[in-house]
Amino acid sequence: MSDTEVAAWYEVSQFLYREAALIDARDWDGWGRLFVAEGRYWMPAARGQRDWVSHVSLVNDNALLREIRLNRLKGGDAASLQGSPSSSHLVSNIVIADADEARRRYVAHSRFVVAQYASWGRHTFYGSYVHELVREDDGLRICLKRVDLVDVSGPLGDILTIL
Amino acid sequence: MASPLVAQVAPPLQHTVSLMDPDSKTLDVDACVRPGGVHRSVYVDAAIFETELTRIFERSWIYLGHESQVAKPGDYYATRIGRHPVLMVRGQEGEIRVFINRCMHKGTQLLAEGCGHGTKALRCPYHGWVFGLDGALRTVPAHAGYAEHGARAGSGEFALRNVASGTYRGFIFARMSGQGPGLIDWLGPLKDSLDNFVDRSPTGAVEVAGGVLRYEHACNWKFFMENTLDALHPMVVHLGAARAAREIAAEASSGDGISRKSPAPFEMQALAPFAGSYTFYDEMGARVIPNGHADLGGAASIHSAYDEDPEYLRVMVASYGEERTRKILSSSRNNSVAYPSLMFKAPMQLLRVVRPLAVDRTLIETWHFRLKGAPESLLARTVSYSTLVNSSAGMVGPDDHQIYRQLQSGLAAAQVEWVDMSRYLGEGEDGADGSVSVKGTSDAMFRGQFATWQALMRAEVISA
Repeated sequence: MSDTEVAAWYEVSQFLYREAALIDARDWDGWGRLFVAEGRYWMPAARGQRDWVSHVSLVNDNALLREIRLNRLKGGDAASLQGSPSSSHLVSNIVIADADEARRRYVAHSRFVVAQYASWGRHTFYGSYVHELVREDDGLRICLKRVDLVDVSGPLGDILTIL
Repeated sequence: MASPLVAQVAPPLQHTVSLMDPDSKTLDVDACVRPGGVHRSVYVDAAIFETELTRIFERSWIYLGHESQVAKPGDYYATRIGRHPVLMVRGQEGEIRVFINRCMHKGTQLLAEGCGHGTKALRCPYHGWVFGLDGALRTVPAHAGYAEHGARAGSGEFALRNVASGTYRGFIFARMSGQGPGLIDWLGPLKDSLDNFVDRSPTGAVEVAGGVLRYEHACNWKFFMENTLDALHPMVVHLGAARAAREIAAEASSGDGISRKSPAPFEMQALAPFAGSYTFYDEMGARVIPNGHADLGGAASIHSAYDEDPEYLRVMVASYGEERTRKILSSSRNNSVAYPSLMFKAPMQLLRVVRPLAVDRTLIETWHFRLKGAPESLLARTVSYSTLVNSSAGMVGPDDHQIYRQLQSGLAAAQVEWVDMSRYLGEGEDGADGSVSVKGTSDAMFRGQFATWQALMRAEVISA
């Protein structure tokens, strides 16, 4: 690894940890600000799913839907969100799969374990992330966050937090 | 000697009844249903659930899948009816048959649940017995040892066990019991709603597309069947999602946020009607149909104000002409129920299959369809809606699920026995086709489900 690669890996790793910490702290505005305006939070509903247009997804939030989702999480009046479900994210196995220093873009692959606790029970999610990131003047931003659950073919229970 | 703690516990109330006689294992069905109400035990009693699996789910036409899932000879789809593994398969001559998905040798489930394509024969993974797509036993390895006992190719005794099946407009149903009305008679006026599902294709054909969602619910199956026709809950349960959407829309229009697009993004059009008024839901109306079926919505629904793709309108008019196109698209039934296994949304090209797992566990599958000959934007709209509403990570479905969970736990209280279904009791207009038109917020659809429930559960045998 060159010094540049090590520096990028360190920066991206710290970014992913910070993102996870914002979710676990329920800092929804802080998490929302990690995205570029046209950024997308995507959770496919099938293994190897190629797009969100011709196939259903579990989550497919553009800027508008991300705002609605976060507003709903903050609002506290949704039946499923009573008691404010909490989460604990572990992010690991981080590698930079692709880097374009000239365009300041990075693609990071990682693995997660997310514990979700709601008043009626708890659940643990396992899977992988793909983060497409761009470095803006004040730091990294998310262009696409892709979440692939290992048990995506289901049956699935409620996913009440941001994974 | 009773401890002080035990002494504080109230004795059980004497008036609570057990509807299931533990000795004779017989169920007093008529004690479960009364005009305008049902007994709590129908949702929480495990013995009643077991009886439902045989008396409701084996005696009714159960939705299995769509013919496009088995488009070519050798294509199959394996699922369940209650606990019975079943298999629908297209034979070499193009006919679709349904079998019990069990090897006739030792009983191994032949094929895992899900679909497969282009198989020449069905081979048991245990001892390698091979069955034809017509169910006939083709080959038995080391068959000589069976010579005297009949397990040989062509033996009728060892052919896969057939299940009665029927198809309407491409939708395939099966029934374990040989008794009862034929599929078309059983559907009755609900046929119109399935017609509307398919007629929305300019070529009159739909196909499964866009994947499936499998969402496990921690509740009795009947809560889902009722809730899809319950027009008194959206403005309460889904207010959070609709409010969140409305606030963001208001922010956008004031210029302080996401730039306002014209027309409103589909997702906003989809979420906004969930906060519709009681009048809006009452006026959309509902139809109660024999055999437990019903639809909510008609001339209006939560889907009827969506913008239509001009290209879609163009191809529809090219196929059907102006008048018939208008007629097809003006029928907007929110939700239709083919009791007890299917809910479908004709205007949205999606359906949901209800699979009872236990008294308090139900698997809901959401399937999506492409209108053949229509622009791909229609499929994009369908999957966008489903992602938003039906996904277990969505902004609508998990709130319904939480209510079902609280119904399941609330009804554990044996001290209060009855569940109310009395709204607009006795009101409605009888149609010539046997259906009854009622207000959208009526409980008549639930009363219709339980009338069928009662008839099926009561009867030792049923007639055609």
